[in-house]
Amino acid sequence: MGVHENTFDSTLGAYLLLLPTLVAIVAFLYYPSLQTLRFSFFQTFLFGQNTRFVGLANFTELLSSQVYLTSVGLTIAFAAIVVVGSLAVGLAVAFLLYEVSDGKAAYLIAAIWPYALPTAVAGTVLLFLAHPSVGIYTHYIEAWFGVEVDWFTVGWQGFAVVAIAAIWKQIGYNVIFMLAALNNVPESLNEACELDGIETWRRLVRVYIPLMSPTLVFLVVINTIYAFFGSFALIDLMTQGGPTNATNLMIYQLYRDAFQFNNLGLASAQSVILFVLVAGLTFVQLRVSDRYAHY
Amino acid sequence: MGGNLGETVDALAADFNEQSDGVTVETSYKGSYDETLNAVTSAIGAGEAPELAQIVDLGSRLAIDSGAFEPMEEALPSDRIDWSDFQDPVIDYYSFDDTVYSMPFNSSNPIFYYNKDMFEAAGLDPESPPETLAEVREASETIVDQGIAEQGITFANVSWFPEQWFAEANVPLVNKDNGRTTDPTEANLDTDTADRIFTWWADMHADGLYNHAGVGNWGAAQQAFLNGQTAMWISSTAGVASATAGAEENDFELGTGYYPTAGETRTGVVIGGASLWMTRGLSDEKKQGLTDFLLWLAEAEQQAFWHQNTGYFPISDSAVEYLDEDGWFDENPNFQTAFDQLQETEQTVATQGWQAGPASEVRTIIQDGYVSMINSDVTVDEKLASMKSEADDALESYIQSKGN
Repeated sequence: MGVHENTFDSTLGAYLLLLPTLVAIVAFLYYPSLQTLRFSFFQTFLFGQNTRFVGLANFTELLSSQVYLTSVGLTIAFAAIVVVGSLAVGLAVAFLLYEVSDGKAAYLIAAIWPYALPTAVAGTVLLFLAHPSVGIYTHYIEAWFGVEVDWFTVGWQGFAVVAIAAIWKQIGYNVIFMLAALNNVPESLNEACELDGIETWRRLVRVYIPLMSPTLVFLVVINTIYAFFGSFALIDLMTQGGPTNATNLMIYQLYRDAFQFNNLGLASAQSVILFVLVAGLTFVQLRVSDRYAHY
Repeated sequence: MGGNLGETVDALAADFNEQSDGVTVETSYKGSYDETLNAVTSAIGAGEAPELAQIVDLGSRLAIDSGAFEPMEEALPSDRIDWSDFQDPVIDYYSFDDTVYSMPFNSSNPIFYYNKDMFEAAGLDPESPPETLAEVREASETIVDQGIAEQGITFANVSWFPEQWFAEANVPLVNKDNGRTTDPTEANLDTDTADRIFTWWADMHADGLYNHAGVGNWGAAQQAFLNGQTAMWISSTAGVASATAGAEENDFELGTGYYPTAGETRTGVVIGGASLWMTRGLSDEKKQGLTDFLLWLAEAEQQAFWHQNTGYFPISDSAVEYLDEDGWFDENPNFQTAFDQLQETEQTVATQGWQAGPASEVRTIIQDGYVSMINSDVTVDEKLASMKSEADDALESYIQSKGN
């Protein structure tokens, strides 16, 4: 019997190995979460000076505020568009990449590139590319679509620009996972499809998608979380929640209240609401998809 | 401060460290004004305030209320500093209850820029820029009608500009003496002055005469002006240096003028920028070192260096004399405009500038309010009324959260 086959059975050793991770999680995740929960019941001045217990007042203020409720609705709409958009485009791109035989590597790099770009850089670059008066794209969009581009002023345009940017930014990530899933499809199935003469798109919908379903479920959850939280940098750099709150998603409103308006208590309450909302959505997504995903 | 400004700050700190015995100043960049204020307030919360913090103009009330800073006039030994040598508008801005609370550092004004070549092409007098908003509109109409530029004027959508129109009209933005005596409870957004300002601004956009560069988007406004999309531009005097360079690059002659007023009254402008705040409870040794640094910074030579490299005002009379003797203003007439405008400003509560704890919230309300005037059917009057009630709520809730 070699040394390699000894079972590791030291409980103490196991705890020791877990310790660094546990410390990090407690210090940077659980402790702040508990503090956030606590602060959500307080009215605060500056950063936690003069705190005063107010019970559920922060929550009732939020839930009766038209601005906040609009922001919640906007966030859900935004998440739906971004999740569907980035999955649909990602799937189309991944499938084309799977099918293509020449220049696969070049296409792959092109597809993944936006994901490799830090969000802050992407936001700044897009701001100037699509800027209403000095943007390079603006002229062509105006000429081709006949709309006057002014997303600093027109609400739906601001929303559209941020949504498109968020989708574009996420496609690469989805493509990586989808391509990996596609590459796992057994060659025998491909051959069977070929023998039966099944057309390309039908093959995607009927054969590949069901086989990819565990990956797709994972991506739905990740993309939802991304849409709720990850769009912050784009909004902060491109629209600052405007025009007139058209891109004021929950995460941005939260940031504003906490860091610009110094209202930590109210922001903590928003953080709790956001957490409950995303946790609830994720739970529902996993439950629903259990019925359709084939593991 | 970032970019060129940040480098100048570092150069100043390095110069100081070189000439001083034993005292070393370290600088640290915390991002924009808002981010810096946020970094400082959170550091105070954690009991780790920096010895010296640069705080944005409108963060003054919040800084005082935090209780973390010692009034500068009490901190600096009176025999070593002559407060009367400082420019009045600058020192007034940072005074509360007749006490100077912080050391003015970077101070600027809004100023009017125009493209002289375009004025000439449109048959306008390139030597007499518009002085009122009505004249800006007339000039814009002439320029746009003749197809010389796409729009007449551009400027970033920042609350700072309408605030300046209030000051010129000698109307305080908030009650309680513009928030100078105590926490204000009401914003004067239901006044005729407010109506006149916002009606002009909204109409300019509706009639295609104003290029809305976006909320807080100083850079885009500058770019639109420099690349000839508009013939006029409003910005900070802190941009004089880069605007001069930009005009040269784009090959047109740059003109500057006083900030256009909302009506006939020209009371003056409010300074903007930031100041330096000293933390309470420092050791004697640290305080001594900081005092040396601040006094050195206020000397004419350093002030002149700062002004020439950035466009921010020299804050003392002696620094102005120093620059004048050097022929600086003769060679740089655009700086002269900025400077005359500051010196001609009458000292009133309106030109002293407003203060309020939730200032950045109120500014956001004003900026967003303008956007909804131009992108929805709401009338200027209706919107001003709702902006006022939002602003009043913010002012009220600040007083409440401060407690006692």
